[in-house]
Amino acid sequence: MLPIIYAIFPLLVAAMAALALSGSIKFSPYVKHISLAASLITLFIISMNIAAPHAYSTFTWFSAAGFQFQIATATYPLNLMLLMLIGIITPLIFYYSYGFMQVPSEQGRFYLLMNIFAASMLLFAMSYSFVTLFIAWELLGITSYLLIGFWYKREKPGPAARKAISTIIIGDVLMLSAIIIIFIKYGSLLFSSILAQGASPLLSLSLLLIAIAAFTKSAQFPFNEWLADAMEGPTPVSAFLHSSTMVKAGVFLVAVLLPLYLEAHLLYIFIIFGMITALLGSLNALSEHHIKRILAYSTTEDMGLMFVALGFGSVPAAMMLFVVQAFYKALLFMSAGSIMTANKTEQLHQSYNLQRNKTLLVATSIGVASIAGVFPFSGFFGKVLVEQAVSSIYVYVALVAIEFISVLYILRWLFVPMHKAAQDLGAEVNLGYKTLPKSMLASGAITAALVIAAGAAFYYLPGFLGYKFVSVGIYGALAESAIIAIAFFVSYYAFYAERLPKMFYSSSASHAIYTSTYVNRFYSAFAALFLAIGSALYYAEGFIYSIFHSGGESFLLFGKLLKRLENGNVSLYMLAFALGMMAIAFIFYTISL
Amino acid sequence: MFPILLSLIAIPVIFLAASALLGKRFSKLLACASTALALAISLYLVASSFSSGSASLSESYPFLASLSINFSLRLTPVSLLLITMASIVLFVAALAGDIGENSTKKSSFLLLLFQVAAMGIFLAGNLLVFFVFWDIALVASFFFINVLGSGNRKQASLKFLIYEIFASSMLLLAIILLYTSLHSLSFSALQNLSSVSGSTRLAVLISVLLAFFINMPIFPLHSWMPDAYTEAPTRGTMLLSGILSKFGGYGALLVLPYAIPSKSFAVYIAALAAISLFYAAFSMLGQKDIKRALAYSSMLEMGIVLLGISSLSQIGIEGAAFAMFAYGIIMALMFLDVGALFYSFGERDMRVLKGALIEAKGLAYAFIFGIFAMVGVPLTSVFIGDLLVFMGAFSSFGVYGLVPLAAVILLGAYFYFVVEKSFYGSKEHSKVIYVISKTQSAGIGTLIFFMLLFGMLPFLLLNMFA
Repeated sequence: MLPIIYAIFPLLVAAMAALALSGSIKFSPYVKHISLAASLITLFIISMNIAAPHAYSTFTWFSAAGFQFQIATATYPLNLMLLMLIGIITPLIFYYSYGFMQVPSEQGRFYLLMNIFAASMLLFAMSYSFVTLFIAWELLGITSYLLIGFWYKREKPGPAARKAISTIIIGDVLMLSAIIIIFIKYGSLLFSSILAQGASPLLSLSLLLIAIAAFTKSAQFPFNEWLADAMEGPTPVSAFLHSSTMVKAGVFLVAVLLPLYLEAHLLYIFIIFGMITALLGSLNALSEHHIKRILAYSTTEDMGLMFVALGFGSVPAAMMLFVVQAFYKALLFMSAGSIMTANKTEQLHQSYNLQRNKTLLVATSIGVASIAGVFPFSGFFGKVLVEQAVSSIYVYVALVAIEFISVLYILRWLFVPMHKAAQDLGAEVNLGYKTLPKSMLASGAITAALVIAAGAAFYYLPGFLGYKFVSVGIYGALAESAIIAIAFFVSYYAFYAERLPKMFYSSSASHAIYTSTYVNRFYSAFAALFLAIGSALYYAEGFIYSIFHSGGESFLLFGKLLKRLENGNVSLYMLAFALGMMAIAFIFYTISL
Repeated sequence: MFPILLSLIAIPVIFLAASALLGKRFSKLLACASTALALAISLYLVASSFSSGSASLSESYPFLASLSINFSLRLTPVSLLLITMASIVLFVAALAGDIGENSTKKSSFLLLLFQVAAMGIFLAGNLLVFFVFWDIALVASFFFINVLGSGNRKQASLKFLIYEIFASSMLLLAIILLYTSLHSLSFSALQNLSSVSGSTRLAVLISVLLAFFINMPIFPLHSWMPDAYTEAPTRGTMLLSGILSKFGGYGALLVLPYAIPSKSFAVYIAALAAISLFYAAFSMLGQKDIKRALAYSSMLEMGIVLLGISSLSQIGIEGAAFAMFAYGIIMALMFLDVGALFYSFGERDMRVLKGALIEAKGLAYAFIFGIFAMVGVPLTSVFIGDLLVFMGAFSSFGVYGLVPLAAVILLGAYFYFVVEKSFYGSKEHSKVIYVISKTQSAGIGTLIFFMLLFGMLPFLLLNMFA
């Protein structure tokens, strides 16, 4: 086995420790230290292996009827990239949780789940066979379910968690089908042997199934709605889920299998669904009022853009956005958590005085500038590379429009909480900002530094992944900057100074572009259809039973008829006896003839 | 040579006698001891089969010398899987299944009787032994429902008895037909079934199909099932859904590969399995009572087992055996859990049982774990079973063989909905009536342990098939 597998164990040990200590009031505060230490050890192990030879290793988990189920791990550049990303983000999230998750009774459960969540994403990142991948894939699904529903006493997390897992289970089942098809057809689940296969109808089918599974995990249309509801989970979970784990799994899987999609001529589905999702995501983000949901829709948009880049066959562009998005999304969620904690609300319009906390303001602004794509922040490189990867003018124009909208909504997200609060509220909010836990601010600041540093990936990542260096075209950069500049002015007047016509803020305008409702109705229609079949079968159940029941009744009826004969009337018996004797005599007579 | 197979049947018989003679105080202890011994023996058998890479033992005792039928017992990989499952379920049922029961003596007695039957069926070397123990199991299950069941128990138990007696008479018919044509009732003689004339073979096929499909149950012969499973006490439901439904599955696994005339006929059986499991899935969607919904999910799972058997491929049949193992444990876990919830809250309607996670954390998390296992999350045994079954189904029926997987989506969607409605959220006042005891937690823990053990280390059970 490759040494990279050891990266998982510290987290698993920490998970065990969290489970063991969760019952004790005295020791449960140590769980967070253990988890942070474990994640740092994991980061250390991963960085020790960053120059590991590009190889894979397998061992047979079990075999049945001649089929070998192989666990395989690999250290190819893509694997190492994702491992490194998770390795860096995990300690930051754990450190952020120091301040965020202060309820002692819940810490054991929280760190137990978070550690397993991180460990399964690591396993996913290093997996090189569908067996390993599916284990990690499912563990991600169930831990995210439990984490989204973490605050089980509240009303909203329950439905949110259910929506997430009900969407994800569709992907799980399709993924399992694809795995079975591939296994029976090719006799192996190793990526290397599958990547060596030529195109065939069954392979195309399984690739299609895998693509849909990836869409459910990465929240692509029409499975995009669970991610916004998943905001009911604790903020560290959101920060984790959106940056390096869970939603990244789908994109990553497609990136690994991209040569097969290219050969099967299936790349266009990523462009179509990626574009739809990106457009819906950006529009929803513009019209949403919940601080974290805006960021969630923004994540679906980013994922859509990554799929578009993959759809045009550009792995470096997709992976560039993949890396930088992890940092700026982690940062923005940390900031969102801080703003929400300080204001004690989750609504954007009830948050004020962001400028009171300078550390938070600077960190948040860096994140916003990065997601908007301002040069030289790291987001710029991601967005420009994706735009450059697009080879169709129509898609490019649509991308520019989406980019424009995304600058608008993210600046709205920054500007609205900067409004001044009324006198009495203001003092309370300022106190909230002042008493924000240090760990929340510090981890945000570190992440902000990393957001800037991630720009370096532009120079190193393509080479690391084994691709040629991709330069940024001057016209693309200028166009990008021009869009940002225009969008900046629009959003400054619209959201900071609020000097645009009233129509701009009208609820009907925002309702029109808020597509969530329609997608949710679509889901409800499906659920209603299935429930209707279920209740129709309730009647069928009665009907089936009535068939058997009437069978029984007919026996009873026969018995009643027979009972009538047994009435004690001796002369009737004599008659029957005589008739019977005659019948027997007749039969014997015919036989003897 | 120690008669290890006979001892598996003899032990519960001895304990049964002891239980009848000794007082009330010992009844639970005796049941636990008997099942624990069986569990120890079957785990020993698993260990020795794993190290030797095969499982084949047989013992024979004179029984009906004039008909040259012996009381023969045999151990195959499939029967070892099933006796392991049965001993785990029986042990937990003995240990923890008596939640809220006030006549532990009767139920422990019946449990021991059921243990005799289960061991006998899974170890039977010929159809007559199979049949004898089959009927003993019916008696035990009937009284479980009729005497110890809840409100509507009389009707449910009669329904159960009529269906099952019909099944058993069909089985007897098949046995007579087989004996007259093959002059042997041993399972190994079934290989010669292809030499039997077409009409006899068809008659055998139809009668065994009826017998086993009623027992599993398979649509449209399932009408006894929801009532029986719902009305039976927790112990009874654990045994019915965990073990009794596997009798039919085991029988089908033994007989169908030889009785099915052709591959094209197997498609009809697979289609029936698919209809059955989708029927169960959709019927489940309409339920409000969690126990009743679980009954339908048990039917769904037996549909998957039948699909694996009808694939007639080695991997599908191994998968069906493993799936029966896994489903037995998971259904026992779920029914035990729901029984404990019912005991704690006096309620198992998902609309009323709100916020149960606050007061019954352990039970709620065990239930959620059970759902993960039911939908086949890897590292649980169900995943291995499902995976192998559907690999078999795909290799025999192509892409159509994978369509039934969609029922798993419905299963998951429904039970996650149940979790949302009954475990999440909070309610104004506490409604806990009773707090479950340590033995119940231990029982649930045991089931989860074995679920995970054989899910993570499936080779312990699969090596012996080679």
